[in-house]
Amino acid sequence: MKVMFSITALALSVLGLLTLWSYPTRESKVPVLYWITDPNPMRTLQVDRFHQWLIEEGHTTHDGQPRMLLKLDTGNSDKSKMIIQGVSGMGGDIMDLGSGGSVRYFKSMGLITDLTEVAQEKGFSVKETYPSLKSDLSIYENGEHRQYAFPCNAYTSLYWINRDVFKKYGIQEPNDDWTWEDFERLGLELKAAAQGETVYISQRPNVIDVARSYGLGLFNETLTRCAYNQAIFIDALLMLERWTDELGIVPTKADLESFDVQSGYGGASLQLFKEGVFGAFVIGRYGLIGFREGASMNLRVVYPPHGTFKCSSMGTRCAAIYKGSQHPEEAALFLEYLASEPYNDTIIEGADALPPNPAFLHKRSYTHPPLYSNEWGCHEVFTRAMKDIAVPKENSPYINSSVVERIFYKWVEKFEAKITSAEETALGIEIEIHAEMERFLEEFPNRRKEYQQALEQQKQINALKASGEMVPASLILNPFHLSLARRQGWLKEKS
Amino acid sequence: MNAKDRRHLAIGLAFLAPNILGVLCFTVIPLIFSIVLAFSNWDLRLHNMYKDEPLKFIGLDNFTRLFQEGDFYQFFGNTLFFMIGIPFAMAGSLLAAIMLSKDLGCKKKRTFVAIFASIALAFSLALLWMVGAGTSGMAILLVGIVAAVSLLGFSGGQTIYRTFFYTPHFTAGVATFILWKKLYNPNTGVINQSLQPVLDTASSVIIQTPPSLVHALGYLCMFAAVGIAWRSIWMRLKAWRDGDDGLGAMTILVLISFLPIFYASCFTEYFPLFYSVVIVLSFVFLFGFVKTQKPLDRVPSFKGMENNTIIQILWLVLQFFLLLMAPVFFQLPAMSQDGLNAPMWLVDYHWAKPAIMFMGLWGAIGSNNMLLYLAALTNVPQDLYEAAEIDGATKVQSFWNVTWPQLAPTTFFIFVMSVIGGLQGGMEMAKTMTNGGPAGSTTTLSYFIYKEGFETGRLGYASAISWALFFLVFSVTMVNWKFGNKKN
Repeated sequence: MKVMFSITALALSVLGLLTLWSYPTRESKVPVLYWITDPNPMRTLQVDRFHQWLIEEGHTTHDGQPRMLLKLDTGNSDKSKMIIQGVSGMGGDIMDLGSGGSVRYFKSMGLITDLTEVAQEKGFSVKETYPSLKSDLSIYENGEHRQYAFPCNAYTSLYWINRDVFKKYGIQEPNDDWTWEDFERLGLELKAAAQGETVYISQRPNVIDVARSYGLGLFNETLTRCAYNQAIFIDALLMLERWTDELGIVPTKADLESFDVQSGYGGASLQLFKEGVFGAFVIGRYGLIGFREGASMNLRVVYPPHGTFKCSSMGTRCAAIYKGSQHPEEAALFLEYLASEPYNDTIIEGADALPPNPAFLHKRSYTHPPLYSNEWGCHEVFTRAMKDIAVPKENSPYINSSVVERIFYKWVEKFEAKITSAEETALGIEIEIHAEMERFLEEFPNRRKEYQQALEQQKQINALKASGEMVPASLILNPFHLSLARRQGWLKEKS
Repeated sequence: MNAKDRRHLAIGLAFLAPNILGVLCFTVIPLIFSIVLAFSNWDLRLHNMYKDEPLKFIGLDNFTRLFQEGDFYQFFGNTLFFMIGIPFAMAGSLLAAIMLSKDLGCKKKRTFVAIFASIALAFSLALLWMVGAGTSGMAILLVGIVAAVSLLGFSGGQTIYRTFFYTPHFTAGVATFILWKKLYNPNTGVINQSLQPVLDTASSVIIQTPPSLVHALGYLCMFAAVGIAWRSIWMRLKAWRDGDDGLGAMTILVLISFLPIFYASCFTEYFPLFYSVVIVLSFVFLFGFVKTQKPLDRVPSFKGMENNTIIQILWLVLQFFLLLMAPVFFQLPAMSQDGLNAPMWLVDYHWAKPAIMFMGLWGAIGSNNMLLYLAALTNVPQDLYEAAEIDGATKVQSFWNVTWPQLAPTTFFIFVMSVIGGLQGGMEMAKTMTNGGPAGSTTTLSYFIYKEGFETGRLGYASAISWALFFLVFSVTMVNWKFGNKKN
């Protein structure tokens, strides 16, 4: 036994020394920065092009090499990890955050740097990207908008049409003006034509999108109260229930689980769309990452079905600079690169949603990708949608967006499990969100005055709407309602 | 203390120092810090190295909020639900240990032939299934695999079986959860693929059966539950009369017996209050009868709790199972008209919890508990078995009167550790398999702590939940210690 232990100890020591000896050296002549992001294969190309861009733009050392080294960290992109590492002083220099909710949350913890001045100086301000993303990238405080992030990409979710499915079953394809009634009709026609084969009109629409398409946002105009305890949301829930359980034109959760196709980017549903189980599929342009794998698809893109308000959801994967970064100037160079043509070209080529800088949407490589002629005609629809109908998510400053998501899906899942009625679900969501808002105001009493002022603003808005008058844009803080008011013609824009 | 003793002390402390420092740094100090957090408003949005808000002592506010939060009780109930399997896991571990303590090795040549034949059978059936032989092929494949495993065991002896039984325990947790997620797949998972043909057959049989006969099974379940309750009450009263149980123990154990009936009467529509009234009146009558034979204890004692609690809990679970099956039988004829469908498991609000519990049970049977029982079984003196055999005891009597009492310390230890583990666990499964859903049905207290602490940033509140969980675990452990840590 002694011999065995000695040999094991010796072997482990030798292996340990070998590992240490073979470990790549951390020494570098230039600053090394870490970009915490997802494990998309395109990231490596984007980093290589960044190093080239540094050289082209003259950000080099005396021997012509890039003045910084950017490394990928894809193992710590989970939000909880970023938070824990960030508050402990170990965060990555550049962090990929989801949409505005994450930006707001990380800013509230003091983990990300105010970019307003440096962004304007270096050309990656909110003016360089889509105007609708302003509410995701900047936070309104002390009477002005302060920028905290810049997009790595932007997306809006539209309906991709698998033309072969519609052709196979002899069903007319939808167009940009289709309504939810058309959605239901086409779903029933598809199901009838399929004669027992498993085919759906699309994956299950999100009830939030359905509600928004009838002009109902999650919050009111001033983001102070939940607005879901209304007939529109209740009807949206019931519509989805009918489509799923009664008509069977969209799959249930159990159906999706049972389709044991887990490979490929985007998971089960995307693969099912490729195989013709779904006639349509709602996803951003980044769906092409999966669509391009394998055989070429016959594709078209249309706007989502609408009720009384044509809209599509939009968002961004944005990059922010960690407050504890040892090299904030170098990190700002990366954000400058995000607004540049070389980076935007990687997004265009890789179909990783939309390029963050809309100035490059006119490029032929975007509208007519040379290797994918089946996609020609699709990309312009995204450009139009971002300009015309895309509406960002709503993030209230008085409640954490992940808490909203938790409350929302808890109640919707209860409704799907038939534990609560649609009315109880709507009421439950409202009560819990308001309770969380009140809790937030107890935890942050210095925000109560601002909240009260916003409530007063809301009263003004309600009074103006009731009397049929135009509502000044300065009163509306919710980007969804801003867009709704503008398109419905009751917004008084700033002169 | 002389110089030599001091030197020895210093040397001893020097050896212990790294360990002590480690315990201080990574256990004691974080523990103390966590107590401070629980009574403060620590929030990552206010207190981290980039924020300098002062920390406020808020007293019991975190605990008050916790006990007013509805979700806490749901998650606590989920945690307790997952622990229902503990007695069964312990019984399974014990059974496995007893089986594995017997040598089943057999080295005859024809056994090897049988093994090869079984493997060949399983392989060809697998091929059949792959080319679309369908569900029946899957069932035959499973039977073939079981046959091969059995024969491997016969040839390789207990070593093979012990390895098979212990494998789930040392398989990496996340890999196991992902595997089970596949098994629970509603349409393509192995479980439903085997279960659905059985349900289809059962459905056609039930349709042809007169509904009254099926309903009769439901009534049988109800009567059986009532019968178990009545028998348990009578056994406890007898034990108290004969001096085996103290008055305190008898009272508590009778209450445990009555609990399922009481619950069914008050909270279900199908179980008449009449039965609860009958049980209560029976108890009153029997108690009065027994009291004539034995005076009331001056001081109620809890003698007998240690031996009977686990058994009573097992009966309790059986009663609940019977009371659950009763409405199933009542509704079965109507359900069978449309065909019986296998459950949707992890995506179904009602089945997600049992699904995870079954998975936990599977892992727990062949776990360290089995090894502990195996070790304990080897320490049971053989002359006790010989004496029992001489006295004419059957195998069951031998187990109950010799093996079970000898295993009491091990059982106590396993029960305490299982309860502690059960109250603390569930986070990895929830995170990997269901994200705590559907609708929070698989969120346990540990996952709740994680979400509040790391997703919402409320570390003070999360610490309060942790300490509430600690007191719960501590209380249960103390109860166990008081009543369970006695040799009979």
